[in-house]
Amino acid sequence: MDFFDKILILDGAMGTELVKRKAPMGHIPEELNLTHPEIIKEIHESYLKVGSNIIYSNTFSANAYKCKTSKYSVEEIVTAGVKNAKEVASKYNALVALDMGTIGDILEPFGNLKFDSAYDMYKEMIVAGEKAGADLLVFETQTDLLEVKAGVLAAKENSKLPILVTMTFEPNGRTFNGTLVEAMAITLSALKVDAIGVNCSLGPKELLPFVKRMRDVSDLPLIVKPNAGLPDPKTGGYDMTAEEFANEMIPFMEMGVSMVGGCCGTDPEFISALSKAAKNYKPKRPEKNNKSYLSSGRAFVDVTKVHVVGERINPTGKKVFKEALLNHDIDYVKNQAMEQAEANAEILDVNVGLPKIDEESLMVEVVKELQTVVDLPLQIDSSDANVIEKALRIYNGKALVNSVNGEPEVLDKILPIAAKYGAAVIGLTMDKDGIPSEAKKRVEIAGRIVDRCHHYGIETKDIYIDCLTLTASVQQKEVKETLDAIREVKAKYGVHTVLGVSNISFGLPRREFINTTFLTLAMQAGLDLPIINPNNAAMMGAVNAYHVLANIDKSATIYVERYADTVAVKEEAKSTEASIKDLIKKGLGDLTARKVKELLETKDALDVVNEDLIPALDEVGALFEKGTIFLPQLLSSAQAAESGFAVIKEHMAKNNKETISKGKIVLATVKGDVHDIGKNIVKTILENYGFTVIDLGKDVPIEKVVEAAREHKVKLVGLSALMTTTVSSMEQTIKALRDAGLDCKVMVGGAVLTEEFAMQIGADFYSKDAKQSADIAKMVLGD
Amino acid sequence: MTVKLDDSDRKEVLRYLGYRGSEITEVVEEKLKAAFNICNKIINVRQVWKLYSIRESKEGITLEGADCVLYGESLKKLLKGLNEAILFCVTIGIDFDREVEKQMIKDPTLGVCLNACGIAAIEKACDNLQLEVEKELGKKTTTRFSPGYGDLPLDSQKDFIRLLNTEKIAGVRLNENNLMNPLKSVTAIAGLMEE
Repeated sequence: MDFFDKILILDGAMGTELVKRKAPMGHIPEELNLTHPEIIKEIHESYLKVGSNIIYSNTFSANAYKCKTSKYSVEEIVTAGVKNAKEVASKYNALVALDMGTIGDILEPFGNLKFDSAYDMYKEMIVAGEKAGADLLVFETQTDLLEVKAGVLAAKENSKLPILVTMTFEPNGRTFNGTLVEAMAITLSALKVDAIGVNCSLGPKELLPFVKRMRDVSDLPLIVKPNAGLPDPKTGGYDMTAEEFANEMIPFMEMGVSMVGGCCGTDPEFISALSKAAKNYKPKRPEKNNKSYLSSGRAFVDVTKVHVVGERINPTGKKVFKEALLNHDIDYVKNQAMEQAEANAEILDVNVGLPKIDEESLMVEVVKELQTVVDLPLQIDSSDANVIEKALRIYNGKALVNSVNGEPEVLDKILPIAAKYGAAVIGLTMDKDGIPSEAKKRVEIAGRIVDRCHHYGIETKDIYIDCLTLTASVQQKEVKETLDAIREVKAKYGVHTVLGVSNISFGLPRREFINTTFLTLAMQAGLDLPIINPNNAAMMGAVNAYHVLANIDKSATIYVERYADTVAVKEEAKSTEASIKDLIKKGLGDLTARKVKELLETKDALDVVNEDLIPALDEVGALFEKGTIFLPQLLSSAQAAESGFAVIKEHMAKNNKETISKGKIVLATVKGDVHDIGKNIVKTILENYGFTVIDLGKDVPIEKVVEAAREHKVKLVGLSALMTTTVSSMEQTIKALRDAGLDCKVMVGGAVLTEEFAMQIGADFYSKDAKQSADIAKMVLGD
Repeated sequence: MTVKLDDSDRKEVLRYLGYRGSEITEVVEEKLKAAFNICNKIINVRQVWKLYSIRESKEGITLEGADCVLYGESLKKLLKGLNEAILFCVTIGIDFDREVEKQMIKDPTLGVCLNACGIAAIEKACDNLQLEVEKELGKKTTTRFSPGYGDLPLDSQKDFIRLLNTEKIAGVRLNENNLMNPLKSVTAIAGLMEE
């Protein structure tokens, strides 16, 4: 089907027409497909009569979640819906699109709905719809790009029908869920759907800029199905006339969209006027867009200058990061991500590979969780094809894959996966013989990578070649080869380039000098994506300065914005006479850290912990218990103490001493519950008492709690639940821990719990607040 | 429709934080100030309301023409003798949830302050909506009553979400456990009284 051939007229509202006919709505209006097919067919026909080329089946809400209380099955409703539409459409030589709205439940990690469950629900509709004779599939009124992705994958993997997607945007250019117009267009273009666009929420005039923005980043045919203007806030009705609507739709047809129709408030009169207006226009096939885009669900990067890839999410050579991964400390990883985002990284590399770790499930979890706290596109970094595939599948956006080199086997394994999910690809110019020393050989390998990418349908613009950095102290004369190779691959193949920069200075003093200079040379040679530590001010400064000197940052706007009124060196916190106890009470973290540093000059680390930090926390805890101070003060003291502990940890690592831990505790917000603020408060306090917290997060499956308790051999498990409805899963979790015969105590907390209730569901301890949880931990695990 | 927190909301925010009148440290003062600013910057209020004729029945309150009974004695008591009520839903949006999520990791002190601001903001938005309705209909509203209050089953949340079409109009969805997303969302019923 070539959607650039002629403008196709869609239909108008179904709901509005049902209300007009006073159709008995029942639980979901889709039941009418079976109870009153004549009404549905009449509405379809009313649109066909006035020129609709494609009508949407009455199946918007016919998914397993929304049909749960219906006496009909999804298959019955969908089949009847498609058949009704087909029956009348065939008389008019028109097509039927299987209409799919949102599932209605909320996807992880903000909700409990699993990606795979969303996939299955869409699959069920798609299989039934195709069997019943649908000609196309349409996802509409969508608000969560990741949910759409589940649907699109379900469509691609179970059907051959063309896929149309329209999403619903607020005046700010985002859906309710935060999906950005461009992010949607980029991600769905990468997934190679057949057409994209907008429907509902606003009138034609308001939607025009969004459709233009889609055209800017995507070559796909466009769909526009607006409401009949904005609803009257008082009546909820629409007061636009059919002619006004058709007039407002003309700019879309002038810009060359492929499909037009109406949503809420539009009726056959509107479609008739629209159909007449459309006769004078034809869709325009856009010129090829050669920009490479990377996106998350909320933001995008068009690679037109130097964009910094943050390298910090990687355990290689980082002791603390390794430990965090082993302890399943996802918050640590999230924090690393937020820090890099604040330091103006534009893409984040994500590598969680460690021996003895389930990289696949950890990667999936980290990718999911990172997207709750940062908007940046991710670069999936792993050598394992399964890990790459699992991560790309659940990633909300168009990612960059950091995995392949010139080895044919590797290319043939990874590239089809990247192509399927529409990811851009990094190719390392090395093969089984290692990194060639000459630029020429590296360029040859790049050529092989480019050829293989093309073979699998990955376009040149989405290929990022890494010409590889060697260490100047060992291979000084080859430094130039890397720079030459960058120049050469860009000139020869027109690809983008990426480079890990800091290896250049291994073994040399004042590495920053070497790193920034090499980075500058590489940018001059044509480096697009340096992989660096964005927290390093000198490196970021080099990038920003380069943009000024290369006339990319016009009038140095960004440079001035970032650096005006900043001073070169941050002053260290001044020394203070106050005691650690006072500093912690006041919540002064920097000063606490400073004071601990001073104390360590004369005092043993463990003594500082036991004689200064912990007693301070105890005192604050006692004040909290008495009600003298309130929660924010307790937390700010805990955070100040944390700064002190960080100094101790660093000190001990430097002196090769074991880090101090008073024992491990597993914490989880139970299955079904997504309110985890209380648990997070408890975590902060426990950590500051020196306990190692294995935080399993929220909505944690029962088995996962049991597994973690077993794996980490913990003596104490803490569970939280906010809702009465989820206390039952708390009870089941406790039971499962007991059944597994684990020798651990369980403490519980949460708004609806009481001491009595806690005992009733089998807990060992009820913890009314964070302070008490620390007391319980001390009792169970010892001071 | 937007909501801004100001000094007059400070007392409320402190109450949600369990404040009992001691001296507040400088650090916490700063965090509170930051929380107010962030909250005002990122909340995106969306709302929907509908007017219903109501009838008291044996099991509870029947919404006319909606195929819906809201069960329980407590709601009956609140709406005693009234013929009309509004159902409404208000949310401050998903970006607020994301920000709390971020701050609870980065700076938990700020995180809990921000969370408390969110509660104050959503309550203020509900107050504003009721004032708006009162102005428009020329009637006073009773206090609002939400699913899960008294003996009104939490499960009636499903009716509120369905009848108000909250997913489409305000972006509010419900999961299997009757939890709303965004988290800072309120559904409620309030009776209408002649002035």
